[in-house]
Amino acid sequence: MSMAECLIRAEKVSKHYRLGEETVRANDEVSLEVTAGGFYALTGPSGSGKTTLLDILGCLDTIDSGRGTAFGRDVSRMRESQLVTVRRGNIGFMFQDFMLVDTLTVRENVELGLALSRSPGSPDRVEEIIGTVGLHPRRGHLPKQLSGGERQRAALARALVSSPRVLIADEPTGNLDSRNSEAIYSLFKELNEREGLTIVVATHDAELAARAGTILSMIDGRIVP
Amino acid sequence: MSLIKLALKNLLRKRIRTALTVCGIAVAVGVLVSLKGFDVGYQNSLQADIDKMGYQLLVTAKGCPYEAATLMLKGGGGLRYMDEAVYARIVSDARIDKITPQLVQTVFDPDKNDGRGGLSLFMGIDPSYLELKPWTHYRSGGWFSAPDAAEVLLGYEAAELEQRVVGDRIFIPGVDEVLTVAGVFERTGTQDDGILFMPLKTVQAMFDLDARLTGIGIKLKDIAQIHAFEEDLYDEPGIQVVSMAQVKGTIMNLVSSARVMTHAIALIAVLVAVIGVVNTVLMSVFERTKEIGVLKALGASRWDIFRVVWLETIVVCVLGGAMGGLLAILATDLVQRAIQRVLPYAPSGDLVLISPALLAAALAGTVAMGLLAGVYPAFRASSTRPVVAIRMGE
Repeated sequence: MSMAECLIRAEKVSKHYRLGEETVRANDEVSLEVTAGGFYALTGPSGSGKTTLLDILGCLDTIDSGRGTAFGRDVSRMRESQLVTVRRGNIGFMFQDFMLVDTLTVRENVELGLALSRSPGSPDRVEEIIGTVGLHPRRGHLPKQLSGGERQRAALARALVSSPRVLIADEPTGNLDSRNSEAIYSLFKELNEREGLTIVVATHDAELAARAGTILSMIDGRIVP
Repeated sequence: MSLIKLALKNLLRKRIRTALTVCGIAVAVGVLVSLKGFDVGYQNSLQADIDKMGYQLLVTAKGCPYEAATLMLKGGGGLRYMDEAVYARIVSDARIDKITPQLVQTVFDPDKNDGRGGLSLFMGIDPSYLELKPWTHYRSGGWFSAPDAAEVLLGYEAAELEQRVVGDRIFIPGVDEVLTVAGVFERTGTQDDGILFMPLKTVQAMFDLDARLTGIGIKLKDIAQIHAFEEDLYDEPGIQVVSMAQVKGTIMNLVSSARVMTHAIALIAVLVAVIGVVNTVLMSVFERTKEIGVLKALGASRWDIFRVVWLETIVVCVLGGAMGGLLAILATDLVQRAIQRVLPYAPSGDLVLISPALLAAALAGTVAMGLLAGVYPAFRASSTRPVVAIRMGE
C-alpha cells in the first residue's frame, strides 16, 4: 500500500497575537500533516486556535515560528505576495458567512473564483461545478435571492471551480439549518470519496466532524490526543 | 468574469452615492469646461470683432482709453469730439492704405424696447467706410444719393428692429427729423448690424456738430509701421491713438479679474470633487474589506485589487467628466446670456466656444484625475492582508 502524498505540513508551528499587554498563543507548536485524499475536522471550543490553524494551513497567514510546507514549497518565511501563488489553484476556501460577492450572480461568483485562481477553465467547467452543487436552476440569481444553504453551495462551487487539491472550510454549516447542513455534509463526503478532494474543516458541528476521517481536537492552541 | 465587470458592478452597490459623486465631478468639470470655452470664445469673438472693424488704428479725442476702447468696438463713437481738421492733416500720410472719418451720435428713442425706451446709434460715414469693410454688402438699396442727403442705411438688425425697407421713412426723435431708408446691409455679425448709418455731413448738420468727428479709422499699408505712425501722432494736440492690440488688451484687462476669480472657484470645485471621489471610494473599500480579503484568498494579487479599485475611481471620474462636458454644451446659451449681462463689453460672436478638442482635454483631465484620486484608495485596498480582512469583526 503506497503512502499518501503529504500536501501541507506544519512542524511545531506557532502563531502569537498581541492583545493589549497580553500575548495570546493562538497556535502553540502545532504539528500536522495534511495528506492527499484526507478529510480532517478541527474541533474544539471557541478560542482554541482552530481558525488560526486553518488560516496557516490555507496559506492565508504567516507563522511566527516553526516550519510550514505546502505543495512541496517551504512557506515558513513567505510574504503575502508569495503565499498567493501557493494558494492559487491548490486551495479552495469556504467561510461560515459564505462571503459571496453580493453584486454578482451565482455564475459570476463562480467565474470570478476561476479567474482569480488563474486556473485553466472554461464556461463548461463553471456550468459543471454549478451542476455538481445542485444550483443550475439558480445560477442567474444574486446571493440575496438565495437561501442560506444555496449560498453555501454557491460558495462551495466557487471554491472548487479551479479544481483545488485542498478545500479549507471554516464552520461551513455554522449558519445553516440541519437540512442544509446535511446537504453540505453529503457534498463533502461525495467530493472526498469520489473525487479524492482533501478537506480540512473547522467545526463545532459534531455531526460534520463525525463524517471526517480524522478528527483533531484543539485546546489552548494545541492539538490534543 | 473580468475585473472590469467586477469594478462596474461594485459601483452599482450604492447607486445614489455613486450618482452623487459623479454629479459632483460633472458640475465641477462642466463649470471648468464652460470657463475654458469662454476663454477661447471671448477672445475669438473679440478678435473677430476687431478684425471686422477693418482698421488697425482709431484716432479719437483725448479721454479715457477704456472708454475709447469700448466705444471703438461699439461703433467707433463717443461723446468727445475732435476737429475735422485732424482728418485733413492725417489723410495725406503716405503710410496710410485706407482711412475713414466717423461721427457717432446716440439718440434716446422713447418707443424702443416696447415703450420702455432705449438708445439708437447713428453713425455718420463717407464712402471710405465701406472701402475698409469689403465684406459689407447691400441686402437691398444702395449708397446715399448725395453727401448731405436726408437718408439712412440700416444695419441688418436695425432694419429688423425698425421693421423698415428701402423707401420707408424713419423719424429721428430729439431732432425731429425724418429720413428715408436708402438701403439695408446684409448681416455682418458685427456691431454694424445694429447701427443706422447716415452721410457724415447729414449727421454733422442734424446734430449741430459742424466739422466735428468722433473717430478716424486707419488701415496702414504696412502693419510694421504702426508704432512709428502712433509716435508721430502723439504730437497732434487733443487726440489719442488706440490700436487694435491695445483695444484687445484693454478689454481683456476688464474681464481678466473676473476670469481669475471664476477659474479659482472652478479649480476649487474640481479639488472638492476629487476629495469627494477619494472619500467615496475609500468608504466603498472599507465596506468591502471582508470581500477584498476573500478575493485575495481566492487568488487575487495586490495588483488585481489595486486595478479593480483604481478602475472604479476612473469610471466615476470619466462618467463625471463626460456628463460635465454635456452639461457645459447644454448650458452654453445660459452661460452666454449670463456673461453678456455681467461683462462691460460682450463681443458679437459665440462667447462660449466648446470645441471637440476642449471636450477631449476635459475628458483626458478627468481620466488623469481618476488615476490620481484612485491611487490612495486602491493602495489601501491592495495592502489589506487577507487574513485580517476576512476575520474583521469576528
